[in-house]
Amino acid sequence: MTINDERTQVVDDQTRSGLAALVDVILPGTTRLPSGRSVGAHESWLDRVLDADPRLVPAVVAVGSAAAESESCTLADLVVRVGAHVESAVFALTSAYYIAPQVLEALGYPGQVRRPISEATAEERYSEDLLAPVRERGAIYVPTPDSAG
Amino acid sequence: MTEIGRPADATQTDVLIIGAGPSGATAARILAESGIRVICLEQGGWVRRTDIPSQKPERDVLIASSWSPDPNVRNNSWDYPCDVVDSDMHPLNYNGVGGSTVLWGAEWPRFVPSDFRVKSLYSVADDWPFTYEEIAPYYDLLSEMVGTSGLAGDPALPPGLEHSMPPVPIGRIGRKAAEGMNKLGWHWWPSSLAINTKSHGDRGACARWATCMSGCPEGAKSSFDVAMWPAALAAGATLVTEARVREITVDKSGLANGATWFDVDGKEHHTRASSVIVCGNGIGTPRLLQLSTSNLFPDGLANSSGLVGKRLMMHPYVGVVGVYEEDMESWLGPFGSVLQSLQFAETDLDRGFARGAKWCANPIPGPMELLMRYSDLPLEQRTGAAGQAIVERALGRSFEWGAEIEDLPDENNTVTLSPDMVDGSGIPAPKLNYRLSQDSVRNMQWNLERMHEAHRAAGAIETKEIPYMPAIGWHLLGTARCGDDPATSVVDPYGRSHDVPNLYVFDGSVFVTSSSVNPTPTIVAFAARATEHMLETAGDQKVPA
Repeated sequence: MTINDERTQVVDDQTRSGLAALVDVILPGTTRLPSGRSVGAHESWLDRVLDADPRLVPAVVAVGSAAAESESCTLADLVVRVGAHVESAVFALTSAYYIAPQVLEALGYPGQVRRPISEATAEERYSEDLLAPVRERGAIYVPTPDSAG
Repeated sequence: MTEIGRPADATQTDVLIIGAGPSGATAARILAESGIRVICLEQGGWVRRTDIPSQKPERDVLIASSWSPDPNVRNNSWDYPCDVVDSDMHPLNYNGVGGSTVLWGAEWPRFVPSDFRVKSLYSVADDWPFTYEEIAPYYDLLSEMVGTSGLAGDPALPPGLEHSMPPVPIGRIGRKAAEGMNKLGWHWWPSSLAINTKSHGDRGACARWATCMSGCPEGAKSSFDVAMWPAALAAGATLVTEARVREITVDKSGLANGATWFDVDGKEHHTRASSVIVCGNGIGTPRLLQLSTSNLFPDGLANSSGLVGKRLMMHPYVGVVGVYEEDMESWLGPFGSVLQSLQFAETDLDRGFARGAKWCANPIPGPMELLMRYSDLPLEQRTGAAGQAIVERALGRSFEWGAEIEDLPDENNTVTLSPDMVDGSGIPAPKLNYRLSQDSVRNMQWNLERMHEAHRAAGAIETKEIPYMPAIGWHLLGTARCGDDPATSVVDPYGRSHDVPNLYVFDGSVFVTSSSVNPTPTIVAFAARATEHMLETAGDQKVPA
């Protein structure tokens, strides 16, 4: 299978500085979560995202460049300047952020991992007590009529 | 292109199958096990477990691009584009060995009996040319062949349904969802799934990755590339991949005599066959039949009824996310679903619409999938501190109730050939004209209100409708409907074309009505029943000279 993509542009330093400014806006951090800048969402994690989908590169570069040229980086300004590219750039940077291990650890989220069903607790399995009201109500289906219409 | 299976003369066979999805795989196995020479042409290729994005940190990016279920987004060399300019819903599929089951959630529900008799019961649409009882043995057969997990005794279905494996854990989200349904007195049941809950051979048991819809790292999900094709190949079927069929050919007497196809290098081939089975599903099949025009069939092959490509049904889908106080680790799968509900599947005309919906309770695998469910909010409300707050508040503490709506057949909902769009081989792309009916819209709205209610009954502190439309067209049905009357159907109750006695359709195109449940079990049960009938009547089969 051929995937019809080619990464044809590179994120240069100025563009990346603009993306850092955008990250400050969209991923500022909370009391619990680190900021996007501190985990490098605009750096190597972004590069991984762009390797996974090179079709995002033009939007990311356009938005990063616009942000770098802007004195005050706001989403509203960027939307006016580069339109729909903003959504794609936000998606790319946010995806990058939620790959960073520090973020997953802060969330208490392990990521996509194995949890064999053999390890499921009793609370995680159905029980006949839980099902009892359903069984007690009995059949709810409409049976096949005796003759076709 | 690869050719796997018994070395065969690729230019001649007993039965040519077009499409290696679930119906094609089922037919190939049954025929090959009966000693019939089978060649299957599949425009896509094999997916290796090592290629799937499910274990990659970049999974969310990949499923939004090269692994998207939307062929117009995915845009890989195995795909054909779909003209959806005039469609309220966009089709989702996968073109490869196993078909769309490569990316499915493996839900495995049966139709309810009334699904086959909506005209008799409610004067709605049409009846199927067979009953639940007549197809039930084939539901049983396919559950055994594929391996399914679930719980017997569901009161939403007639008794007798068995699974070879116990159900997957419902998880804490399932328990929470069930508690809400119990408060309301509404039906729920552990999901019936084509997912192993016990290891078998080289296929492991479910490990709750919740990445089912981008491929199963354990091999537990019974996509038909792993659940059916190995046996079909072992029995002697031949599978030719990256083989794009351009048309089904006919002889002077109007019998199908094979197909013309392109290999990956663009070289044209023709494979002759005594019989042809089309398994391209609700878009691929009518497209191919309409491409296969000739002097004998100027309006498309097998189309004397005029119904090829008409009555497209796509199961509109709506969902509500509920956020809860407690941590439920709601990223744990399967996804698929952990619970199903048929409380509202049957007709109640007092609701204001004809049929109903099947519900499923689903996990939310991670932060990006969670944020997708808030993507209709203004940018400022889902980015910045607000966006991070959504994830902090809801990750692990939320799950989705989803409702699959039974849409009704409408001859104005069609698949035709696009005048503007072609695939990579220059073949006209399919064009969808599909409009949501007022019946569907009322059905959707009513079920949305009930799902909010179900979440609140379970203790949700926040509920929100999910903006899935338009890219939610997983189930592509009805465009070569079956029936007894050649004037009002394309194929007979066993998938045989009324017009071309050695041409068959076995996929979801044959559906008369859509039910509200996931169609794959019914598709493959139909295919098995039809294949068996094909074998039983082989002595009377008309074939080209």
